[in-house]
Amino acid sequence: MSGPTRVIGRRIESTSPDAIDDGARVVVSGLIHRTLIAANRPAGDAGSSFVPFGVDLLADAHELAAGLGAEPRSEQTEDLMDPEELMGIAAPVLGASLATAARYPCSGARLGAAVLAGCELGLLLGEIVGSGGGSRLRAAAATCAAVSAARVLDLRGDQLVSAIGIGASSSVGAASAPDRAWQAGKSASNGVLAGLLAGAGFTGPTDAIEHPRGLLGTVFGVAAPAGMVAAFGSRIHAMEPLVASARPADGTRTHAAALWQMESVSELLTTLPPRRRWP
Amino acid sequence: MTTRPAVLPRLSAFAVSPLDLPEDVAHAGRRTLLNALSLAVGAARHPAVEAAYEVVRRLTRRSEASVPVRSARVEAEWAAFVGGIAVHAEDHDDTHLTTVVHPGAPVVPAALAVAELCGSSGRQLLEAVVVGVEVACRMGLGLGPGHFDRGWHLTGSTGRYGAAAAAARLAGLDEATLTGVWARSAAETAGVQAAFGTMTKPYHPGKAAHDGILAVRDALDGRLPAPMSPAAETDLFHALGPDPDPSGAIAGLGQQWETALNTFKPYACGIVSHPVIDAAVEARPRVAGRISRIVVTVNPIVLDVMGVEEPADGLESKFSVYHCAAIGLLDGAGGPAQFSDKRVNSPDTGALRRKVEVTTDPSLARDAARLAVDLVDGQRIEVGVDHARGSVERPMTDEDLTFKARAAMRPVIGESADDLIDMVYSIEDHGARHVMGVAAAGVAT
Repeated sequence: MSGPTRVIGRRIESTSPDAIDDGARVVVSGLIHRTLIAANRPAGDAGSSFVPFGVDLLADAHELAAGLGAEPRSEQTEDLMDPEELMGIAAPVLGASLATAARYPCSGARLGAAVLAGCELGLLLGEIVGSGGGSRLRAAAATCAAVSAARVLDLRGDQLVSAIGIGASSSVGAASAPDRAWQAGKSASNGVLAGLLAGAGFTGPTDAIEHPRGLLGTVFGVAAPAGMVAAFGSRIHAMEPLVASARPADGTRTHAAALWQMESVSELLTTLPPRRRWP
Repeated sequence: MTTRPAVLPRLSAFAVSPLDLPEDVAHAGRRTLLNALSLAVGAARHPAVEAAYEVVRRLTRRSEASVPVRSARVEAEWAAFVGGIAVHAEDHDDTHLTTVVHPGAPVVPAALAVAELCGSSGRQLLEAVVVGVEVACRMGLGLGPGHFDRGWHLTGSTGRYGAAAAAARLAGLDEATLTGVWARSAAETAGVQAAFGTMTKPYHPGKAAHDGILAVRDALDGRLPAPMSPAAETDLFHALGPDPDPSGAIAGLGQQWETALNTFKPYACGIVSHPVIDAAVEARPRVAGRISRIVVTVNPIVLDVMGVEEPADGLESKFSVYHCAAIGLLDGAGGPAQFSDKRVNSPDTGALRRKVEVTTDPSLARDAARLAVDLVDGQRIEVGVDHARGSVERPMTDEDLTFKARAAMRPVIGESADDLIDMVYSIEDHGARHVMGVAAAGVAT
C-alpha cells in the first residue's frame, strides 16, 4: 500500500518537466521572474557585510526567500496570485529552488518543475489545513521547500519522500509567529538542508504528511482526509488567469518558453548580486 | 488582567547566573557528558552520521569546532549538528523519564562545540551541560504530557531551548538576550514522532543543537527579534499541547535538579520497552528453545511508540516491543548489535517475534512490564519487572556507565577511550579544547 506521502513523491519524480502544461509554466515562470526582480533590488551599501551569491547555499536560500517574504503584500500579489496563502509557501519554495539551482547543475525546465512541485504541495496542504491566512500554512513551508530542493537535485522518488519527511520535522512557525521574512528564509534553508540530506542517503518517514503524529496531525492538529492526493499537480494550472490578467499573455508565455528551453540556469543565477552576510 | 507565568525570563536568569552545583548534580552532569560524548564517538561511522557529515562538508566554510573522530573542523553549529545526530543515532543515549526528553543529544554537542570555540574551561562546560539539561527538561515539564501525546518529539521541540541555553551561557549572553534567543527556539519548534524509526529521529537533536547555536550567533550580531511578550509566552505553551503547566517549568528551579533525574539507557532502543528486555533476559535461561507463545503486558504508551510488529530494518526495530522481547529471549542482550539490520532479518528473530502478543494495562508504570512465556510442554514462566534497569529507581552505576562508554568507543578510538573517560570524570581539570582534541583523534577524513 502506498500512502499519500509516497504517492506525492512518486508523482513528482515521474512528472517530466516537458509534460507540464502551458498554464502551469506561465505561473511558475512568473514566480521565478518575481524572485529575480526582488533579488536584484539594491539591498543597501555593499561592503564587508556583503558576500557574493553562490558562496553559501543555505544563506542564499534564506536571503532569497526572506527578500520575497518581506515584500509588502501589494507587491507580492501585483503580478502573482491570490489566494494569499500561496505566497507564504512560494517564497521559501523559490528561495530553496533558485539557491540550489545556482549551486548544482539544473535546466530551466527542471527548475520550473521544482517550483511547481513545492507550490502544488503547499496548495494541497492549504486546502486541508483551511484558510485562516497564510500564517498557519507557513509552518508547512519547509516541507514544500524540501520537495523543491530535492527536485532541483534530481533525487529519486524514495529520496523525495525522505526529503518530505525531514522537511516535516523542520517546521518553522508552528508554535509562534515570527517575523514573516525570517520565517520564509528559515523555511527555505531548512528545505535545502532536507534535500541535501535526502540526497546523501539520510532517511525520513514515508508517511510524514498523513501520519497521525506527523505534519498534519502534530503540526496542524488535523487528520489527513481520504483521497487527499487525487488532484495533486493540477492546482497551479488553475491560477493562470490571475497571472494572465496582470501581464500581457504573450509576454508571460514567451518568458515561460524561454525558461523551459534553458539547458542550464546555474550560470545565470550566480550573477545575482551579493547578499547580506548571514549569519 | 493578564496572567503571566514569566517562565522564560525566570529560566533565562537561572541559565546565565553563577551556579553553586551540589556535588551529586555535578556528578550527574559528568555522567550525562560522558554518556553523550562516548556515543558520539562510537557512532562516528553510523550511516546517519556519515550522510550528515557528507552534507556538512559541502556547506562548511570556517574551522571552529571538532566533530568526533574527524580531523576536519567545521562551524560550531555544524559540529553540534553532526554530534547531535551521532549521540542519538543508536537510540542508546539518556532519558528524563517524566518528560521523555533525551537531553544529552541536543545539549552536550551544542555545549562541546561552543566551549571548544570559546576555549572554555571544563567547569564552564560542565555548568553549561547542567543548565542545558535543566532547561530542556523543565520546558518539557511546562508543556505537559499532552505535548508528547500530540506527536512532538521533545528531544527536538524542547531540546532546542536547552541547547540554546548551554550555548548562550558559554558565549556570555545576558538574561534578556537569552530570552530573545528563546523566541527563536519557540518559532523553530520542530520534530514529529512520525520520524521514529528513521534517521530523521536523530536529526531532531542535531537540528536543535544547530539552531540553538545559530540563534546565539544572531544574538551576538544583534539580529534577534524582541523577546516574547507575556501573551505570546502564554500562547506558546497553549499552542503546543492541551494541558500545559508553565509554572511546572520553574517550580523548585535551582533547588530541585532534573539533571539528577536523567537516566542512561542500557539498551539501544525506545526507553519504554526496556523493562520488557529486562524481563526477557531474566526469563531466558528457563525458556531457551522451548517457546510456543510470549505474552507481554505493558503500559499503553509502549504500543503507542513501540508498536512496530514486523520491523524492516534495524532502525524500525528500535520501535518494536515485539523485537525487544524476542532479542532479549534469544540473545540476553539489547545493545546496538541486537538492533542491526542483520539481526532484525535473521530467521530466528523473525520466528520468535511472531510468537509475541502484547497487551496493555494502564495501571502498570512506564518502566514496568510483565512477561509470560508458554513453553511447548505446557509450562508457563512468568517474570515481572517493577522498574527497568537504568530507571531512576535502578540507575546505571558509574561502573555500568563506564562499561557502556568503553564498549561504544574502543572499537573506534581504541585505548584513547579510557583517557576520555578519565577526563570526563575529572572534567573540571581539563579544558574543552583538550577534551575535543582527544575525541576528534582517530580516523582522518
